[in-house]
Amino acid sequence: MAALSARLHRLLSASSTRLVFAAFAVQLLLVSLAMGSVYLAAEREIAARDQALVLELREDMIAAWRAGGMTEIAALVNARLALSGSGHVILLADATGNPLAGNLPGLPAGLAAGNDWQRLSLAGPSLQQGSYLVLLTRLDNRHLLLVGQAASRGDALLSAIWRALAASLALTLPAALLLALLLGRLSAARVAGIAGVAQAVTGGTLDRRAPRDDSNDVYDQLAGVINTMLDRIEALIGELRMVTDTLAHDLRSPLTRLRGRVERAQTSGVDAEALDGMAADLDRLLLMLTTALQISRAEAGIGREHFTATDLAELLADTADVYGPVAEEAGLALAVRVPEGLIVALHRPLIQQALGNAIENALRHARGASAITLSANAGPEGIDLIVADDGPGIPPDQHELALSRFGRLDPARSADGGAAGDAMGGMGLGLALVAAVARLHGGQVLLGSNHPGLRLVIRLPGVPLPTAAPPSAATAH
Amino acid sequence: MSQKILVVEDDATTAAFIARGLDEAGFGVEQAANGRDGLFLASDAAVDAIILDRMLPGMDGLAVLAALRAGGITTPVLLLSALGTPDDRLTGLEAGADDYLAKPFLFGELLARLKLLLRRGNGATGPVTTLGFADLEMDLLARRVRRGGRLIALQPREFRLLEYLLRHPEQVVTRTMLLEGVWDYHFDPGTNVIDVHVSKLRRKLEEGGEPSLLHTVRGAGYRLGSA
Repeated sequence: MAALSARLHRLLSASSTRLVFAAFAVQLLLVSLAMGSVYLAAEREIAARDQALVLELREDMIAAWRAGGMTEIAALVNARLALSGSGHVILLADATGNPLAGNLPGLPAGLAAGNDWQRLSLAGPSLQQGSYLVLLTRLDNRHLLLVGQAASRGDALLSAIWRALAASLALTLPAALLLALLLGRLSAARVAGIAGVAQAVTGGTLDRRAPRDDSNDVYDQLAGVINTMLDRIEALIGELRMVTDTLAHDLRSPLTRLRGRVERAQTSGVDAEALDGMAADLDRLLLMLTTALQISRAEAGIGREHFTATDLAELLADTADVYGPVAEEAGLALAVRVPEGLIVALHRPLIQQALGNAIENALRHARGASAITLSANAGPEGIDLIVADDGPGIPPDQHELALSRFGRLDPARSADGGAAGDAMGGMGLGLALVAAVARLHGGQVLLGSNHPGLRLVIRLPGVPLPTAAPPSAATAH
Repeated sequence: MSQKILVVEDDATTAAFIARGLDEAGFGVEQAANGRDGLFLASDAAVDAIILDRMLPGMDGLAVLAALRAGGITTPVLLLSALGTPDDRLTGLEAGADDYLAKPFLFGELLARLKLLLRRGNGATGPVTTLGFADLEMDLLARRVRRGGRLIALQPREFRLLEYLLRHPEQVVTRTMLLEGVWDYHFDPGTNVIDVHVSKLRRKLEEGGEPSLLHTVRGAGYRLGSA
């Protein structure tokens, strides 16, 4: 019993149930209104027909009166009343109400002559008892005429209509209630289906998706939106998982090497070379962690408060200045092509680092290249910082992989295969940081062909600041 | 009299490591293990420089720094932090630190930066037009460099690098100090960017067969010195 009441309570408190009942109530109201109006229309129609009958009868009577006086009208009265089942009531009376002809024993009291319809309950020896619709007419000073029609036939029709309506209502209502409950059930089931998917995903089954029926109704749209959200969540989690897996994997090799060096040092003594090797491994580990941290922070949008107005010509010239000798040593020329006076609000250290990573990527991967060009320009889509080389480039289908965190391209592309001395060698973190920095600025990284070579574009949204703006005040040191 | 350094660091191992190193380098060392004591010692004792950990129990390193600066104490402060991103550095400098070093660090780096801070503290030198070391002369106005009588043709970036080294003679300057001081770069490029710069400069300085002036200091950086 308690279980039943609890279930009932749950059913009543469920918003879908409440909705179903509201819908049912509205339906009931509408059906009742429709039936009521049918009834009223029928009633009006029947009354109009009765009135038309009475008026016709009166006209015939008056015509007979005018044609032949008392004799003629009395004959007509008798002739009409002789027709059985006509439902007529006729009374020809003198001025005081004494009957002269007709089927009514006497003129009812308080009746005024004129065109006002009266509804009276009448009875007589030759008159069936019932409700009658009557008109009283003064023929002349000494004669009155009452004509009328039994309303009971119309009433019978009306009550028949009423019964029919009630019967149909009695049939429709349970059907409507059933339908409403069914629809409520159906919508509840579809919502419950979506909720079930969300629950399954919460429980760890990340690849579950809400079923779509392509009807594009609200439930289908809801399922679509939920699925899009789940796709995004799954992608983010996948990326995170890849980062942690790869970080664990990539940390393992320098750590293993370090472990080996320590072990060798324990058995055969420490020399300067062994210590240098250990220090290099540690530096590599620290750099990996710092870069991974920086990517996470940039992705989280930390650092926007440190944007400063920066002259791109100056920024790129400084970058070329720092990396020039390394490029020269690798046999590449590092050129800068920037229009003067392009001033942009940006995170200077991070953009410097992004440019540096792009250059190092070019140095490491662009086997056979002869030049790296740094350039910048302002276009309708934003401000582009471009690092282009004339090496072998990256096939378009690998562009996304190149930008994903830790993504490694075919090692054959790497000029040095990620030598131990090269701290970032083969780590793939470099371009991922470039992408994260671009996103921090609300922009993106585009990889394209330089015909030949790789053309990496850091596209920052917006327009250059007015040239009058003071150039970035370099942090004095 | 030796200069006195206040070390405010809650991690005992790190504090002992720094104190031992400073002691070996000839400094007097005061220690505090929390922010409150650190603030007290910093405002009271005559210390020449403060090494301040950013995350401290009781009172946060940045709060200590803010309190010091608000109290008009301008003792140079080197902020130590496990947070090594450019933003953390900027936040630290904005709070009034004179330098910022991310953990883990090499002691050589800490010492070099500390010495730079101490020298900056008492070096109220006027504008100079020439710099020199041993037989090396730099004319800042004519932007000319000579070694002995030999004129050395330097690219602008090599000139800036040498100028920085000449302004810090006989001091260890680390790679990151050079990146910050010469190029205003505040991250580790990871490759041997600085080594290439230095070796190119060194080649030009010793082209005439002169003795080496630019020395590599293992585990730290470079030093301009006569031996």
